[in-house]
Amino acid sequence: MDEKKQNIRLGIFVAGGIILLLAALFYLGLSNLFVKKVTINTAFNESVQGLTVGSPVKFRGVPVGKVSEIVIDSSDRIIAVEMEIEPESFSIKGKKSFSSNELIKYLQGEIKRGLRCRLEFAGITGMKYIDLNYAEKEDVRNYIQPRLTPGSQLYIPSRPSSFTDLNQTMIEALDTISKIPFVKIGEELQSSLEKVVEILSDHAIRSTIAHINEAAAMIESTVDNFSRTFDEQELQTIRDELKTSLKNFNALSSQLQQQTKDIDVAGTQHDLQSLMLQLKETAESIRTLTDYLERDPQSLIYGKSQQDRK
Amino acid sequence: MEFIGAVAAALPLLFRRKGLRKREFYYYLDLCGVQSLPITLLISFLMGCVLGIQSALQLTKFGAEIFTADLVGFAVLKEFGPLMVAIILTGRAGSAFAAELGTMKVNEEISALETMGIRPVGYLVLPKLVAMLIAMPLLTVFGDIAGIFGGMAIGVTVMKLPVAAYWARTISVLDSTTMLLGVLKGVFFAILITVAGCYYGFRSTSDAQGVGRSATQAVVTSIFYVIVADALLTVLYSFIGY
Repeated sequence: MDEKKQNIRLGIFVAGGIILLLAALFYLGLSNLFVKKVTINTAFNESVQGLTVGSPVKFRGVPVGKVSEIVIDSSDRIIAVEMEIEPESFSIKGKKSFSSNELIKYLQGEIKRGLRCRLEFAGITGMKYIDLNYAEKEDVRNYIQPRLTPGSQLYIPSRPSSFTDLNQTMIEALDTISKIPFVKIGEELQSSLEKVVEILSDHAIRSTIAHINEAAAMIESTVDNFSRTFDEQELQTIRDELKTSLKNFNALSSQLQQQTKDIDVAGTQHDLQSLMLQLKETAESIRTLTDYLERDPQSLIYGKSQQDRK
Repeated sequence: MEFIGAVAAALPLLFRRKGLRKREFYYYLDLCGVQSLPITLLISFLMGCVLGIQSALQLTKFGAEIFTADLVGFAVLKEFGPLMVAIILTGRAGSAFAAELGTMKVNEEISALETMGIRPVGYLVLPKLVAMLIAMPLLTVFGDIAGIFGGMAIGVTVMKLPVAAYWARTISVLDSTTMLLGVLKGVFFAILITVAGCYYGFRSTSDAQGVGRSATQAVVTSIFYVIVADALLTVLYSFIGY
């Protein structure tokens, strides 16, 4: 074999291999070594199941970095997550990308506007990513004491993930439901129903119901009759007549009042009194006369005796 | 063990002028590297395809076809790239080394070297070892890339994933450390294959059948140690998080 040819082949093989290796390494992330990065951190007071070192960090859905470290703070069981963010993902009005300091300043401003970290599902597989997004106004409060990890340049507060809320609500709801004594309610309902059936099957109740039915029928027929007797028209006339009668009565009574006033009750009384006195005197005189006549009837003829004259 | 010690003792020769025989080195580099390249590319590509199909069959059940990229990428970079290359080179180089040294022993060339005051281990093994140490990682790189393209071929044709999506997924999940660690496995495998091949070559009995036996033993032992080393390295890597 020609030595020169062999050497060329070897040269191509070795050079090609090394170039490929470097290209592949560069493509697969060695280039990241030369990219400026800002390390920020956050903390979660919940399970970070599904989040691993290397999980993406997204700013409103745009991948801007990766999770670089996950540590549990043993003192309060809060999980601190460190992230590396590339300032080049952010730009000022699409022209120039941020420097590291500009990015930190920018993020500090955004935190005041409600920028928060939140765990989100990356798909159906249970993998998660950290979403940097803006919280609602009422959701802005800090859930966890802010903490800056040693390697980090900025702390971004977190807010509980929606699935944690959902989970909590579900658990509470299930808890409440489980406290309802369905078995007891069922038993009581059954016994109540049995009693109702028992009562309804009682003879007295049956006859009562029958009576009630009869009474209802009677009432119905009565009402029918009544309505047949007094139809609207008649009631109207009766009412009108009653009205006029009342008026007449009123007039009469006022007349009566007038007349009684006109009579001189006081004078008549006095005359009557003297009349009565006279009558009394008369009666007494008559009695005396009758008494005298009884004792001496002849006086009627002979007049009064001598004795009596004395 | 004694042989390993001898190889280690010969290593300082590398830093001496003319310590390494260039012609021999180029020959072995050509044998192990350049001539193994087509078969490496083909086998790695097919391995990627097979992995792609198998993962596709499982992942389509969950509608997670795009994760084929993850599976094929990681499997090829971490395991199959280095392992396939190691097995190919065991067959191509390890057996060749054993047969070559065995034949030299039959021809009493090794004894002749010793008589001339040349240490055969340094003289014969070092070019092979250095050639393997260079060829193996490079072949691993080629194998890795062929494997990923194999997976991609399946992803694009069978699962109808867009090329860009598959490629972007592969790029985003794989990282350079994973690839470097995979290539590093190749370095370990290269040492194992060369040492095993040469060891059995030197130990060959001085007859034609002995050469055949030593070649067989070299291959069997190499593959065994390669797989054991792969397992150990995987466990080791898992400790550092990869």
